[in-house]
Amino acid sequence: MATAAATLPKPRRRPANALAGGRARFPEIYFVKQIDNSRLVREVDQEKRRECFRLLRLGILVFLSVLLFSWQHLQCVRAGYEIEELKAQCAAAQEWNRQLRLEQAALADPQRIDTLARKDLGMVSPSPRQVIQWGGAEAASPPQPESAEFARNFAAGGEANLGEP
Amino acid sequence: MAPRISQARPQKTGRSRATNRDLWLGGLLLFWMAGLVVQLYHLQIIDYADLLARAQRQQRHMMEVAPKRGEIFDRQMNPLAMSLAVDSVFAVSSEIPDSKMVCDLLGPVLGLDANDLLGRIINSHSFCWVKRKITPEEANRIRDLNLKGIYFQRESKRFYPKGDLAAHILGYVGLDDEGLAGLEYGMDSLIRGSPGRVLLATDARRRSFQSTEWAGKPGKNLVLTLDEKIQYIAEKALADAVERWKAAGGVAIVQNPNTGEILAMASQPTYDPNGFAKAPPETLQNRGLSLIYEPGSTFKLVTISAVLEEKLAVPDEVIDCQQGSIVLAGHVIHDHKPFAGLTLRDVVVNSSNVGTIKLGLRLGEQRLYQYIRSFGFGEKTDVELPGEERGLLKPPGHWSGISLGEISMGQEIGVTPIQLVTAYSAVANGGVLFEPRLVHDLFLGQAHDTLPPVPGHRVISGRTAGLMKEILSAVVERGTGQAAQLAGYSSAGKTGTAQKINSSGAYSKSHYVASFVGFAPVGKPAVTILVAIDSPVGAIYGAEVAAPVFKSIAEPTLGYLNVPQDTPSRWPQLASLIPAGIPRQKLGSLVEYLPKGSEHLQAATSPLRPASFSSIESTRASSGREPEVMAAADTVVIDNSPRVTIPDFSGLAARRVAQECQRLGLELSLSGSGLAVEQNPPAHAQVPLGTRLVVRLSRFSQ
Repeated sequence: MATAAATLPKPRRRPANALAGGRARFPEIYFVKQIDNSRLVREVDQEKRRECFRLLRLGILVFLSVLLFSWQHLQCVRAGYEIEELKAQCAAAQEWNRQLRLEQAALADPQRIDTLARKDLGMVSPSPRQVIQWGGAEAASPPQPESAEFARNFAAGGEANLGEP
Repeated sequence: MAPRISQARPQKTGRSRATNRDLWLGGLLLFWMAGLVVQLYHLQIIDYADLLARAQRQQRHMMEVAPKRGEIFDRQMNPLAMSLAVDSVFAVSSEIPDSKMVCDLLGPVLGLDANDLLGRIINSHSFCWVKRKITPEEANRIRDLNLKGIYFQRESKRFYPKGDLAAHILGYVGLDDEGLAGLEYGMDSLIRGSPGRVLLATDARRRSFQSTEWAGKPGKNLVLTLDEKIQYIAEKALADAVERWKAAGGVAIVQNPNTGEILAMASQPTYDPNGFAKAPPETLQNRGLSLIYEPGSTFKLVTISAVLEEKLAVPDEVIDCQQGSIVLAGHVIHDHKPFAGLTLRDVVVNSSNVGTIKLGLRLGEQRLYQYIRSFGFGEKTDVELPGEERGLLKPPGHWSGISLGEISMGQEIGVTPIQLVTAYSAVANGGVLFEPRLVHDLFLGQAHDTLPPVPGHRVISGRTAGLMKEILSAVVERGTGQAAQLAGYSSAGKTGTAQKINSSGAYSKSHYVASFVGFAPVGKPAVTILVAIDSPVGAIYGAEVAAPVFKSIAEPTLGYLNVPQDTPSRWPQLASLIPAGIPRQKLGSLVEYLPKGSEHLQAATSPLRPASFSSIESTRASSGREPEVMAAADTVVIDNSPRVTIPDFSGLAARRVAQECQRLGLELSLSGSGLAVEQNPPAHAQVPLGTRLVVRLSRFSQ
């Protein structure tokens, strides 16, 4: 082709304002020719069409995959933010709970209650003769676990009975 | 169709230009895209690892999470020490545009000297603490200032909600959360825990969007044998006495003689552990463990116990007290007043030094030394608190000619209050010496490490202990300890007055330690109490200074512990009407012995059927609930009904909680759904039957 092209005569370019064939300038006539090729029907290449659809489906799949991945990633990040916020809220609530427990403990300070009772409410300690223990002799005995513990310890000591004077 | 005539063909030139432009644009785009691809290749392939590492460095921060320090509770699960997260302020000096202005603003808010703060910030290259563990109010004020280069860091701060209550036992922690004194120091390795780590991923605005945690090990919670009410009673009584006698200090210890558990340990002067840094150094000393003093007459317990145990004398044997003086190795030792002949019992009742020395001489050096060691003197008691002294006790090989006599009556020997109260507890419980204990339980979540009871060792027989209890009871009834007589309870004990050693090594003539050690009730002792007042002014004798403090502590403590009263002194009207010869054990059925016409006293004074008993019974029967009103105008009814221990419901389903409450006889109030996450009263609290328990359920585990 290159050889053939080289042998062809080069078209001579005529200046735009030059006269055609050395003759007087003649207006160019532009004919409009209506060609009706609507009857021509292009033959459909089924193979190409299928390939095209395949490519299109693949493209859509890739696009959706990327979209899904991006959406997932975005949701992941968003959930991460929410989790962190909830964690912070939980920690703050626990801290608040601890603060309230601390306040409760401070309010239950025996010294504070004693001062309130004596100074603000004018209460006095009951004398032992004013106190009646409620619940019977069994309930009034020393705490059972300690007695049991003592019994165990005492048995380890080697004697069966203390013996009161 | 008519031809259209045009002058030129502009379309051809325009298309050519458009083509050229498209070519240029295409080329440019191609070049641009090629550049992008090259750049992407660089970023994604060549520099990938480096850039990834840089991004991670920028986005991810590994932070150490301070462990949650364990809380400390008393035996009723009342919190005594807790930790909260608070803010600490720090400055990054390179980011502060105007350090002086910042310091001038921060100084007044934080109570700091602005110039001092400025110096610290300027001298620091990057990081500088401004103030650590500030109050929330201070933090809010600083946040409002919105200063550049000033940041906050969350740190854990220890709080003691009861102020100075049990300060010497709890101790305190330093700025870095390390225990520095008391149980905070002694149990630091257990309650401190180990730190965790958290990997935070943050965005450009430093907001965290992802975190990965490596949990640390939180510290264990501590349950003490202390009872905050008894501790308060002891501290108040001691503080009143120290103030009254203008003493240099004092100590009071309340112990359960049957187990060795310390129920209270008060030391004066005291301090507030929330601000320990401002406390004078002398207030930080726990005298219960570190005060070494000559016990004086309170030590006669050891000598007399040893003599009785070795059967070298009997309580009624008369000892010649030589009119109040005895010569030992050329030294004359006197009694506080001359006695001729005293029974062994009266030697103790009258606190005769001469009589005790003569009994000590019968024992001999070796045997006395063995008994002293056996009672726990000369060595640490191994209570969980740090800083305990072992006391001063020389082996017999180093004793002088006078030592046997001196030690017999409580001189030439140094003891600590905790050693002495433990020795008295051994006599009180029948002769078994238990190690004193302060820690009852260690727990973390559901896992409890309840410390097993420490088996004691027998130092004297039950018979000897019984004799000693009788003798010590006589001391209170008619001897030097009469000020320790209790209303409603029998008591036993011994007074002591010991001279202090002055700076020149001689006995001081002005400084004494007045003490009293005793227990109550005598038949079944519930508490052993030691009171020692250091250098009282205006009075020196234990009988006058320390014995009343014993009474001030013992009476409310025994009432609080619901110990049954064992003497008729609470019913004086009744006592006056009792015919002579009625044994004490029959007091419960005295009604039949009372004369006619005293029915109003029968009901009002009977220990088993008080005046209002019938009305209380009827109230209970009619309403089905316990009466809450006072039985009489001046009578306080203490609900002494059986108590139950609240279990730990955390993590249990509502059904299990309900079943358990039904089994224990507790009323239940549930809120929420899921598993139990919170309850009130807390776990392990002792409550009366029928108490309403509030349990909160949640689907989310805390």
